[in-house]
Amino acid sequence: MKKFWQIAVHEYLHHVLRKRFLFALLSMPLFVVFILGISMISVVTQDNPAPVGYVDYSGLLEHPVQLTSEESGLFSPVDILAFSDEAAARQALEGQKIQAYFIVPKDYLETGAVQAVALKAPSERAQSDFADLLRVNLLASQPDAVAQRVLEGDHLEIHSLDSQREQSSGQWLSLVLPVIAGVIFMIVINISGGYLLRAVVDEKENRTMEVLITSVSPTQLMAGKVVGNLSVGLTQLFIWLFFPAVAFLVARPFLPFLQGQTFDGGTFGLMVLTMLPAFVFVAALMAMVGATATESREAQQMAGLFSLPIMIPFWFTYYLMQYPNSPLSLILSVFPFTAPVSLPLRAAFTDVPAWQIALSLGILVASALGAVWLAGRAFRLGMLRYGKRLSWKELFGLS
Amino acid sequence: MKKIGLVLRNELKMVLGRRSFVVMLVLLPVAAFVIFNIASSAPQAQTSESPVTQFLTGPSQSVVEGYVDQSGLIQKLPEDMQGRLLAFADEAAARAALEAGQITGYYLVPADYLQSGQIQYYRADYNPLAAMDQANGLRWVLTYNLLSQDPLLAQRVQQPLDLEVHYLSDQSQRDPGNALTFFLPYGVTMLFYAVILGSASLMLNSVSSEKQNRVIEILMTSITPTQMLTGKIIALGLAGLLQTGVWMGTGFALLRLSGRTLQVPAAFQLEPAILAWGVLFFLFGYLIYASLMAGLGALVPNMREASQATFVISMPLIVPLVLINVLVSDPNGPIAVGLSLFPLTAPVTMMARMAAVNVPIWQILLALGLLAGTAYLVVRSVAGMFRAQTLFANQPFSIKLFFQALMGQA
Repeated sequence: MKKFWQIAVHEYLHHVLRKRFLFALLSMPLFVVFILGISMISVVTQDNPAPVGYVDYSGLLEHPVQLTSEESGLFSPVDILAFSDEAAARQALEGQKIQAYFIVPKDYLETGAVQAVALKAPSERAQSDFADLLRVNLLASQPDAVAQRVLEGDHLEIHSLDSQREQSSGQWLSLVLPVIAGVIFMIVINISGGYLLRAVVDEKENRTMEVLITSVSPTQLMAGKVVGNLSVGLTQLFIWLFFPAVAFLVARPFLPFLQGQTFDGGTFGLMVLTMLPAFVFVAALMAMVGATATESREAQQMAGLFSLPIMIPFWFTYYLMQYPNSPLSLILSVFPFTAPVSLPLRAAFTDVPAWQIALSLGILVASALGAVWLAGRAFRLGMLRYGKRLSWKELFGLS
Repeated sequence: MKKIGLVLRNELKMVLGRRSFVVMLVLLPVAAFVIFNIASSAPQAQTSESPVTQFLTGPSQSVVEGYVDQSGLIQKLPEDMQGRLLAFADEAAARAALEAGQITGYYLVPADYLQSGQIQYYRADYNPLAAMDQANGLRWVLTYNLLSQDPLLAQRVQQPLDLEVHYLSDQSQRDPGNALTFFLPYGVTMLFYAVILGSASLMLNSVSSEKQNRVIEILMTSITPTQMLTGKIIALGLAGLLQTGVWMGTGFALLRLSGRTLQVPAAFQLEPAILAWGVLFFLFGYLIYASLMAGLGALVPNMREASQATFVISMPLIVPLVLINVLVSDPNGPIAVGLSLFPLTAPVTMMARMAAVNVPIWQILLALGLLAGTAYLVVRSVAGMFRAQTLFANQPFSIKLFFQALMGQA
């Protein structure tokens, strides 16, 4: 037991105290900030604050009700100017005073067709602001309460039948959470899996293995390595999750779009329940590959085979969310490689029957145990073998 | 000269004989054609449910839902909603119908709907995502009734702007709503990124593996480092060119085909000239990045140490990929022009711009000129780096060392 801890602690400190670990730790938040910055840049450059004009033939906008500009978000609304005829509007457009002008035809009410003339595509904001103007004026003759309701729309609250779960239209966080958790799971699996992969190969490549084996048993060595490397991944995970969670709690009172966002405890619990065995499962598989391979490059190629199926649910995110009870979703949430991402995602969007959750978790735990057993076996068989790969037949004891 | 030919032939044989290369070369176009065929037959497949859609979406069910209107607003259903929504007197009746399987969900419109806007929606499968779409039916009914059952007004309020944009400039403009506006330049960018980086990393692999297994020490007894570098660059460049040609040709053919069968607007047809420019930009881009990778391969003791540095080297290639939104939305803006002139980002960015708009010819020529100049400088300094001392030395690698060597200081 003492040796097991020694190995685990050594593995852990060996990775955590390195400069590279700090780099990896910082790279994630930096990457997020970078992506946010880039998207801000693209939003700002795509936005065109120049006013738009319109020429009205329908009579709808003869005495226009102006937009009240309270609900504008990040940007102030675009100015909308009236022109008496197309020639004047065109002149303003060519003089770059406006970015585009809209022509509202006579039969607007029947068809809804509107033409725009522009130098280059008018910005989204200009289009939506003009649409708002039209809408406000269409409703001008209605009673205030009705106009207000139609403009604002409704607040939909979705309930499951037993009223245990509800979701109102503004709550996006609990729906996005499983996807984010899935992505983080992927990253952590890749990182700590990579460590595990190399852990055994390194010692084989530089021939330390023979010396090590004189003083510890293979099981101790393997278990110590798995625990040590998993802790590295979990440390990373914890730090990445801890700071955003703190930031979320601190920022919530100040940012209006975060208010009213809550976590769904059940989904969260399910996420932890599926991801822990899945973590052990993939880690053990990686260690197994590392133990059977003789060169680190070869091991990396084979490890790619394992990360691929974990990615599969991301290709089908749309179907998992929109049709959480389809055969595809069922298969993905039961298959051990895809379950850790698919099952919480499905659960966020529907009531998954209890037997499916039980089946999925059962398969996951069983596969995790099986993988650990295989890894130990592969390690014992392959630890002193050089130049020749361990074949699958030998691994299962068939030859 | 004969020795360069030897290296060249050997490298070509190695690359073209690798199974993964051939598989990628053939598989990608085949996959593209298959996906294209499925996509172009999709409209027919949607009416009769294909097994694939059933597998993806589950059995389709006719959706009939109920509502309990406590506000008294819903007087009459519009014609298109009749039969899709059933009225219930109270919640108990709706729930009973739901449990009996008559309806898949029901809405509760409270008495103060006009003030609060609240709607409660009970669904058998509780799927918030599908629910948002599904609720549009009830929204339409409510708007229709709020606006005293005037279908024209209600329709206008729901869809106030059916926009058709005319452009004053003569350049053929693409409809910003069309998915191809984004995906065409994106596809071209991805292709160039993949091909340039792919063939450049072949270079890294080839140099560093020969260094790692010490074959290079024997090779150096009979050829000079420069001969080896030249042979490798030409051979891997030819392989990359083959890849670019096949993939771009496929993409081009697909686009032509889709113009016929999918009615892709004429604005999305690329000119054949883009193929020729593509070859030129690939060649120079490849020359720069492959030389950098070869220099890296000459310095590192093994592949593992190289991974960090490859990331630094390929950074400039990633920049246009990250900024693709800006490039597509404003292909002649300052960011796009700047990136397409800067030699390290030029090959990928210029192709993205060419797929998006007509680029002024002077910009293309200037970019090519700058690229050629940079390529010349890089190849020269890497050739200097490719000396026996560095190829043999087993010194630990750092990125600093790499840049020092590139500047001729190590």
